[in-house]
Amino acid sequence: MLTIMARSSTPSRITIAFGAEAALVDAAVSQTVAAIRGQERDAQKVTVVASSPDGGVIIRDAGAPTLFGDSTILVVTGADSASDEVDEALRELIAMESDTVWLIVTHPGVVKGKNLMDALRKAGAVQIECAALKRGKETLDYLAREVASHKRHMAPDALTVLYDAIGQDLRLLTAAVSQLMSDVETDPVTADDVRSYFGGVAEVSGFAISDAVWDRRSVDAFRSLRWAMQSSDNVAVATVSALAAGLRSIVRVAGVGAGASEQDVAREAGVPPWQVKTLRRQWAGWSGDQRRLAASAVALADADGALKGGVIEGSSLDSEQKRMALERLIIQASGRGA
Amino acid sequence: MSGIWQALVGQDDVVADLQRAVADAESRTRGEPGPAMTHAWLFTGPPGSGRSTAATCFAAALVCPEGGCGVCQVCRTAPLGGHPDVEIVRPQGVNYGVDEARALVKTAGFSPANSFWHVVVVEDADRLTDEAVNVLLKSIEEPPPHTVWILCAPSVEDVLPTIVSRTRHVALRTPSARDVADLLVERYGVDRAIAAFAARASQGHIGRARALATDEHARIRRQDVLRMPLQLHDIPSCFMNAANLISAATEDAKAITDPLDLFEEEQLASAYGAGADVRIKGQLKRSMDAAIKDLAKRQKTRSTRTVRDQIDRALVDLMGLYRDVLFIQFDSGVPLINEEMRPQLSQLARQGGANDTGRRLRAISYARAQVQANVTPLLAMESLMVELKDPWIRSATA
Ligand SMILES: [Zn+2]
Repeated sequence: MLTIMARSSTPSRITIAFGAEAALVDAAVSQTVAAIRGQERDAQKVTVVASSPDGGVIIRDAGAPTLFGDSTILVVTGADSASDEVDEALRELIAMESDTVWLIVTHPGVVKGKNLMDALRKAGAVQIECAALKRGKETLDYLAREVASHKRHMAPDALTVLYDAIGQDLRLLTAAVSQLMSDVETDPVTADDVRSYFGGVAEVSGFAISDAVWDRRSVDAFRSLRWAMQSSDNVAVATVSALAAGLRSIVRVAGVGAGASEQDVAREAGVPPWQVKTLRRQWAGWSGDQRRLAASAVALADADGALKGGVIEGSSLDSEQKRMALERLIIQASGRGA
Repeated sequence: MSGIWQALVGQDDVVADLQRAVADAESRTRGEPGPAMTHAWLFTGPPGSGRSTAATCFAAALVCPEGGCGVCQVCRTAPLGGHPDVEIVRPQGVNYGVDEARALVKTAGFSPANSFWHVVVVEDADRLTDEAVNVLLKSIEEPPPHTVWILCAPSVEDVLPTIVSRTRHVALRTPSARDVADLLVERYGVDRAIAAFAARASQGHIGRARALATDEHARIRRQDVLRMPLQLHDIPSCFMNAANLISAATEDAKAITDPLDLFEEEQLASAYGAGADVRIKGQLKRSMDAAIKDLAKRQKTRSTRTVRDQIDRALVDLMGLYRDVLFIQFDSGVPLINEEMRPQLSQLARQGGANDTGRRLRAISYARAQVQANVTPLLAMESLMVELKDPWIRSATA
């Protein structure tokens, strides 16, 4: 569940999510947004990529006084590479001391953009630390806290087995703990429990991986991929192609009017009728996160190129790098953003 | 200019040199000297200048009994890789490696089947790795007596000096829009206004200009592609446009390769004496089956390559469109490639800044590289359409 803020805390007008750990940054942003909406239910969220030159215009729009005093939650991501326009617009915004804008800024904690961060802090920003966890003990401690937050127990060697199986991705680790807690009933959860949870199953189809990814069941997707790669080294390109086909079906079904019958949708979208319900459900699961879904299409093509020997000279991968590229793709595609 | 050389426009000097080379090549077949001919060539020129046309026409002229008549079966099939003595090699991935190069040296060493010369055309020689070049060098320097190497690259700087020093250089230039328009009017009797449009739209690419001027289907296809940027509203519309682009490219590629395939299959069958009433058995049958299999493989490769070429052409059109958008955004007064679309282009120009347009142009270049690098074409186009809709999409991934 990745709890960043105390439940009772009142949000500040300006919040900085400061640090490079994407999972913590995401959690900080979404929990801040939730806290703000706890006070102002109808606040509109606007997200701006700080490096975008158009960002300045969007920020000024958000800061402009509105007729009915509607609140806006303005999320500005990646403030280390803020364009001049965005930098300027943010400074204007904080000088206005608007009482309709809630500002949330993310910054990876590097030196670049420090001046802007200092200006925000001076204007009263509350900072949430999101620094990347160190490998080893710090991450294991974090895992133990996550387990405790479920009011459950895990043997220390079980935590290590889990950590070894999944690696450093905090988002996936968090989701894996949560899923283990619900799927494994024994308490404490033992190392053997974890091993059998992530250990071998004979055959996994690309279709199963695709389904898990587009259902946003990231832990299942990850487990299926692990299994698939155990049974054959050569599943990488086939997996990308299965993911692409899965995404294509979802999007095609979405392109047909919502009112159409399942038969009509199936015919128009070129998918089997029995899949329509699932595909519609999967599309609905992305309704608030369209940009990330679109980004997945880009990531898929990139992965396809990387697995087929590289698009840019000298970018071909060895088998270990291929495995990692696929895992990254799956984690990223199935994950949830801010 | 006549015969097969008609395909080359605004390249009179180059054609004169190549015609002399073909004449001298013919002298050599009689054991006489022929200084204008040599066994290793480097053709350079920007894309669309006719670089590979020049190379493949030269290759065809060397194997045509009439020295490049332009009308015989040899002249019609050799430039497309349909002649046993003309090998046209195009690196499929990003790089051309040592293994491929070794195999190529071996093929290059084969004696010609039907003519005096065995010509190997390496398109995109700039993609050879240094190691592959080293493998080729010896054969390029001292090839078997009947072998001719023709390497193609955008410019001399794109290939290793060791290649440059061992080859004779032929440089093509991009013909001007005026050259192209004049040609269309004079040779094909195209209306002046349409010729001007086609010359502009083709960006100096002769074959393309001719198609746009004379073939309404080609104009409609181009228009369909250029409308796509205005139709990218959400993920479904992006994917739909990607699918449309691919199915149009596939259909057009089939229209090119199907007749060739059929012709080659008939030729092969008649070579084995097979026909509707004749059945072949035993050793001959096995040999024919092997030949059929080999032909099918080559046809498959050509079909894949032709589809990719069609996609690339669409992407070049899209680049031209965004180049125009950029010029409008800079208010530069430069003539537009797509002047007739100015209202729509202005609309696109207002929807974002020059920065966005720059990103879109980069996205198209990258998609072209992806397609060449064997990324599934549909996937590459879906990714591109999504990026054209939102040029900042890559920053949405954590
Ligand atoms: Zn001929």
